[in-house]
Amino acid sequence: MPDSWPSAFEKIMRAHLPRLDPAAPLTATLRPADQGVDSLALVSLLLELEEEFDVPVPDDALLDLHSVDVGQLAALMGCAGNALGEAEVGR
Amino acid sequence: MTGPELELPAEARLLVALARLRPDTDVRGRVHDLLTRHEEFDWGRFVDLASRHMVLPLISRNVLRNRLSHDDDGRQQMPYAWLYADVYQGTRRRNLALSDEFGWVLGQLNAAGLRYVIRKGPALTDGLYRDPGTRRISDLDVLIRRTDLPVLAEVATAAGYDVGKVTPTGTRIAPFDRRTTLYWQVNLGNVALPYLKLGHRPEVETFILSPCFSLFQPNAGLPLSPDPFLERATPTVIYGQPARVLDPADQLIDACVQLHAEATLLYYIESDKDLTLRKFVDLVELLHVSTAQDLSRFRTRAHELGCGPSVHYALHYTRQLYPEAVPPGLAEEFQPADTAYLDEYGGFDGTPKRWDVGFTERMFDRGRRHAVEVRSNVPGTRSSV
Repeated sequence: MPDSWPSAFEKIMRAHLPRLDPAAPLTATLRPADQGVDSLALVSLLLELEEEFDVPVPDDALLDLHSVDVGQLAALMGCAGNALGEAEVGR
Repeated sequence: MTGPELELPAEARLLVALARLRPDTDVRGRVHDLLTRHEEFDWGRFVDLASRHMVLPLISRNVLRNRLSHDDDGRQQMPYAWLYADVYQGTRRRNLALSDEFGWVLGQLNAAGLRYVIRKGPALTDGLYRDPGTRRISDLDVLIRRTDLPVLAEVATAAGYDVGKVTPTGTRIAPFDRRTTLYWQVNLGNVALPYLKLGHRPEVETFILSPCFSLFQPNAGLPLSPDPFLERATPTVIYGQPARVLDPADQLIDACVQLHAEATLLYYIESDKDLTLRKFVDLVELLHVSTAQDLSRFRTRAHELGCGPSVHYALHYTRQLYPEAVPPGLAEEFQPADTAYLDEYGGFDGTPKRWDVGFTERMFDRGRRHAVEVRSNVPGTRSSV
């Protein structure tokens, strides 16, 4: 069963992953770093997610975000996909 | 001026000659010779260079102590003698004010049971230079475990410090925007944003407390944990308080690694703080006080940590400026097979580029930052560096 995300989450993610084919699924294990998202772009992505979901990323989660994947970001925003349940950063 | 004459403008040669904690015994004669050979000596450029290279206080001390302002016939040979007296005394006043404040902060950190090591400025000025007029201190660099940051934060906040930047009018500390905070926390894993408190005095605009969690850059591929350095730290007294500094071998490693990092990071190049002569003078003095045992431990640890390239970089270029200061063979011991990196910048930023000019030329070229081909991504105040 493919991962599913709130439309706002998916929209923001895809906007920051220009290399991802629009027809390709946004999988939980996809990592923005592997899609060419650099340090500055990652910060922009986090800012937009924080603003959309009104959830600040906790300080203790910020260190591990270089290798974060879509599922972990969703969990941080409180909108984890159906396949992951309670995904956690740093697993 | 010992060693081969550097191919430098006269102002830079005089700078290197006078930026020494222990100037030549015949410094008066050598200064006179240099100034006699260069009648068009640009004193404005000399003072500018000394300020940019953060050695004006040290030079001031040497000018005053050796009365270099006048030659042996009593004729003035250096203008603005009053400037050097004012800089030396002003630096002294500033550092004494910092010592009052930071001594109190250290007491609070001790009372909180924080395990820490004091690095760089306060450790060097107090422990190595031993003259508060010779080396201007910027901040209190505190190496801690990342997990101890909340303890330091609580002490800092209770002491009136805030994370932020000084407002343009200098009347308060304004918080950083979320973008800056996020960038530092996500990408600069070896440091935290500094804590500031207004000094409310001309000689100290701001007291700065700078927590760090590693001696190494996050993407250097080196062990990031501060634990070995905390465990080996040397007990001492700083500003009248019990404190701990890096042990001598680790101080050498820190000096070399920081010199290489700051010489090549875009953030420092853009701040014009990448190649400051003072860093080389610090390393010269650390080498001077190192025992054979210290050097042996330094060599062993540098190999174990894998920071040989940075050590070679620092020693290689220090030897160009102060040939007699680097023990024979020490720089070569850490020389990697490929030394192309010696003329690169941006490597720690992930965007390595090559300089078009050599080391000594770019070191004293005020315009070198305009020659870089890439820009740093790091937001936030440059003055906190």
